[in-house]
Amino acid sequence: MIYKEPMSENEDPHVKYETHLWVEKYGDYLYRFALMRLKDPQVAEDTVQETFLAALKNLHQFDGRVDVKYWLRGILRNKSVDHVRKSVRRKELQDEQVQEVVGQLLFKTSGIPTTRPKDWAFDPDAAFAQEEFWEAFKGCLDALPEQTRLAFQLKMVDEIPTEEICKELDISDNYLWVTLHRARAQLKTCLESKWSAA
Amino acid sequence: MFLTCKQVSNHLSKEDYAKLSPFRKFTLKLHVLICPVCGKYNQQVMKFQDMARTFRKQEEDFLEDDRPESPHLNEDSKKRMAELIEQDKAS
Repeated sequence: MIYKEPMSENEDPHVKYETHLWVEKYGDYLYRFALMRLKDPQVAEDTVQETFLAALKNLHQFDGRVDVKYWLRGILRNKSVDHVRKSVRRKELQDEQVQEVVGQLLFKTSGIPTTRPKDWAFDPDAAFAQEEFWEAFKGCLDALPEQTRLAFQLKMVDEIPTEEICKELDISDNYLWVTLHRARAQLKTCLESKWSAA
Repeated sequence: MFLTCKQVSNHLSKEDYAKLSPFRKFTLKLHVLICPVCGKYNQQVMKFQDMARTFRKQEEDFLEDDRPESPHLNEDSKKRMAELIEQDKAS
């Protein structure tokens, strides 16, 4: 039988999770993550600072089951969502074009907005293997409208569950799906102009 | 047994594809391959999912890239944040 040291009730979480080392160990990592999500260096820096303070406030709830770095990154992701949600006007969230697609018979019956998407102008599988392609991809992702980019990052890159994204952004799942459709269409157009021309 | 276009789209939109049974995966792939309605569109959706997953690995490399030319917090900001953490601890 393996003897497990009982956790002391008085164990200080600041000591246990080495909060004095957070900035040195995770500051740059979090800053780069914030830059990927928020673009503006000043906003990114402020959000990292807010993340550390929010984490300290909730330190007693942290159970240590995930690495501190990923726990902090999760808090930072939520902070980034808050920031974008506040900065995007309500009008954009309820974009009429999106509502129109959601209401279409094709979408209602088959869950897709079009049966005839254009073919790729390049071979995606061959492109994936090239480092330069990902530079182009990052550039195209950055060029998306903030709300659309965020929806794509949360759903496709971070793989956050649909229900959670819809709750955070206060949109329906159909609305999210159509927003993702627009993100893909815009990314495809951008990648084709950047990559096919290269 | 067979999936409808709506079910295929729902699986792809929820990205629960990896959790499906092998048979369900097979029928989904088959549907996407032959369906004249949603096949082409959903093939592109699946390609974007591959793209996003590969990009995630690239993003992780970028986040871990500590070379001097990659983005860093400046030293003053780090000092300020470290002080704030110390203050919070003391309070």
